[in-house]
Amino acid sequence: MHPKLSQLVFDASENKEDEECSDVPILKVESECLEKVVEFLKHYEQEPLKEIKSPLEDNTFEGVVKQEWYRNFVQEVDSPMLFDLVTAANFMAIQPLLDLACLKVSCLLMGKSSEEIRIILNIPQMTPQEEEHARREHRWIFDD
Amino acid sequence: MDWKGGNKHKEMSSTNTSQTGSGSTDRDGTGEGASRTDQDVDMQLDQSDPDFEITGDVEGRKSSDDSGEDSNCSSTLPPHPRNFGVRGNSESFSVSEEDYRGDNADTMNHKMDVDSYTRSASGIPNNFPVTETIATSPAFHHASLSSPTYRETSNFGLLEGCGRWLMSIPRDDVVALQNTLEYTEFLNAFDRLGEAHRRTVMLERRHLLETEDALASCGTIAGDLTEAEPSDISCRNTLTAHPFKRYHSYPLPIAECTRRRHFSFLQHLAVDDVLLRIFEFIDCSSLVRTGTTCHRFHELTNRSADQRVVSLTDGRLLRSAMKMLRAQEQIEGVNVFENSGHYVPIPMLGLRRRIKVSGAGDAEFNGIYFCTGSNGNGFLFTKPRVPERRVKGDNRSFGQTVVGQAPLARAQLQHPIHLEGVEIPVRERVLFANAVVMEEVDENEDESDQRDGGVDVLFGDEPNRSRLLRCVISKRFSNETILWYMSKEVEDEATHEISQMFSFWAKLMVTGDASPDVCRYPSQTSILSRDGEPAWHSLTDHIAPPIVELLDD
Repeated sequence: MHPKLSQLVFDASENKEDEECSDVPILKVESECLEKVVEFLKHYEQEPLKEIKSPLEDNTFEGVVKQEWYRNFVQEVDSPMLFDLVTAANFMAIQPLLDLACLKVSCLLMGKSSEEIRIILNIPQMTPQEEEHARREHRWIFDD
Repeated sequence: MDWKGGNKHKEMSSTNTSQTGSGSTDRDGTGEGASRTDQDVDMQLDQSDPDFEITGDVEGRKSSDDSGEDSNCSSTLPPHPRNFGVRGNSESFSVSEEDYRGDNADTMNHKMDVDSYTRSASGIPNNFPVTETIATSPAFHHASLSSPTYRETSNFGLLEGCGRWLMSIPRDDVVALQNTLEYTEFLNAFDRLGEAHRRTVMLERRHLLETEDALASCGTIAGDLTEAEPSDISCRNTLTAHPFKRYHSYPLPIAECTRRRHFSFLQHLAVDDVLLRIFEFIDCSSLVRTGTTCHRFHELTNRSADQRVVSLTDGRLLRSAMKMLRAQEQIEGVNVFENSGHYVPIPMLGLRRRIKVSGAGDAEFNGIYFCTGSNGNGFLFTKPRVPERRVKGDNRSFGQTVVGQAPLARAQLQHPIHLEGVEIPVRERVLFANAVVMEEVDENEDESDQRDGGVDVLFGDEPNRSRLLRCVISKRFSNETILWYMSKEVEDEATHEISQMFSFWAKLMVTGDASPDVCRYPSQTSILSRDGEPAWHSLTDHIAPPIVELLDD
């Protein structure tokens, strides 16, 4: 697996003075998540993920990600693991994985109401005044 | 900054200050929440100001004063930067002299003891503007930050208010401010706050992970445990539990265990850049709904929208207020001279109504079109080709050749048409267009900001690489006859030139057929169709012409 897929790993390996020791500690990513990251990177070497462009071609995850392996890779994980993947990809600077995971999160949110989004992301509620202010700001959307 | 006081404002007082206020303390006259001492200052709302209403939310700061002073927020809170959460306009932070002085400058003068704030841990200065001479100090009208009503009506955090206040300090004043001890102390306090934030987040995260582990094992936690309230052990909202508590082994229902990992991605994991990347994929209506979930998302979704419309706002001068001002002046005839170099293109709004095309033999043309620009003959209506295709070449300065054949008016088919000296039989005279080579002319090429103007006469306002190829409805001349055409943009693989392949045409509607307003739009089948003949005609045999109608009546 080429270290350049992860900018973090690449930078760390470049800085290592001891060439015999090729281990790069990645302390901020849990093992379970790291396994998924490695799985992604190994497959990426065989079949690179096609670039995800915005605006999206489709409103569904399946419509945007045509490559079956990547679709299944993300569909198999639960929300907490998905969020962990987002964080890990960001931390390790793995752009394709970040794009894929962010896309999946986006698709989770698309078409949902505010309350549903709060539940999905376990977000504390706004005060009624804040929510009213936000709705008033975009009344043209909520009037429909 | 326009200060506004709310209907339920409360008094606010600060320690070691003395002042007199005019009028009653509240609009309702109750003065709830105020804690007056001889040294307190009452900052009263000016009831004579009809615009005075509190719309912001400033969280009352708990007293962090270790001196044992009265913990009442009203006695320890510095009045000013925190009240930057009190605002009517989220974007403006300039304070007018009138707002400051109020109606009764004499009676509202008060002396602020700056030293009183050295006792506060935050180090936030209590005077606004930054001045230590109070001779003409303004009267601040604040509600008591400790009052629940105030907190309820206001919706901006304390730190956010402080941040806005910091940004409002005139840069010229900062130079002088840098020489003060308070400045250095503030920076140190700022750094410490950052460390505290990181520590807090880390502890929260660790706490959540430990909670998950504990709940997963359903009560097999070893170590030094303290008793925890059963109510604390909840998957429903682990964020409310104290981060330093450890959970006692406590059997939980299965449902609770299954929700153990349902912590807040927002609060504990996602940095702004990651969230913005997520939002980049979300469509507008979903983005708006996402923005109504929490304050942080509200800010980030707006930022995401701003980032995603850069080309549109820049291309139409909407980003530069000064250029917009100049455009307005031009409309109003201000400083308009022939030899004046200071002029800008005036942003235009496209036609509002949508066009619906259906029934076309070439299905790519079917769909909803919007007015996205104009060419030399009128407005342009476009929609992306389906499936979507993007321009691959860099066509910043492109030459566009119009190929394909624009139709002649039916009557003109009767006239002889010669091509290279040979007369074309009427039967074969389908159509000829004058080959038109159109070069994009960037009128603002000399401008330092190349994103200004540069509106493409044919492409509307999207001349950039990787933009979508489109289906276009526009007016074109065919010899001396102007007609509506439907065409699709095609990119040459080798040269990356964009060309128009024409497929359909129609005569213009005339006033009488329809109102002048409607006549600005592509010809409607329902209006133009006569005696069963189609309004739109196909340039290619065996391709059904479209039905074109106007939406949004």
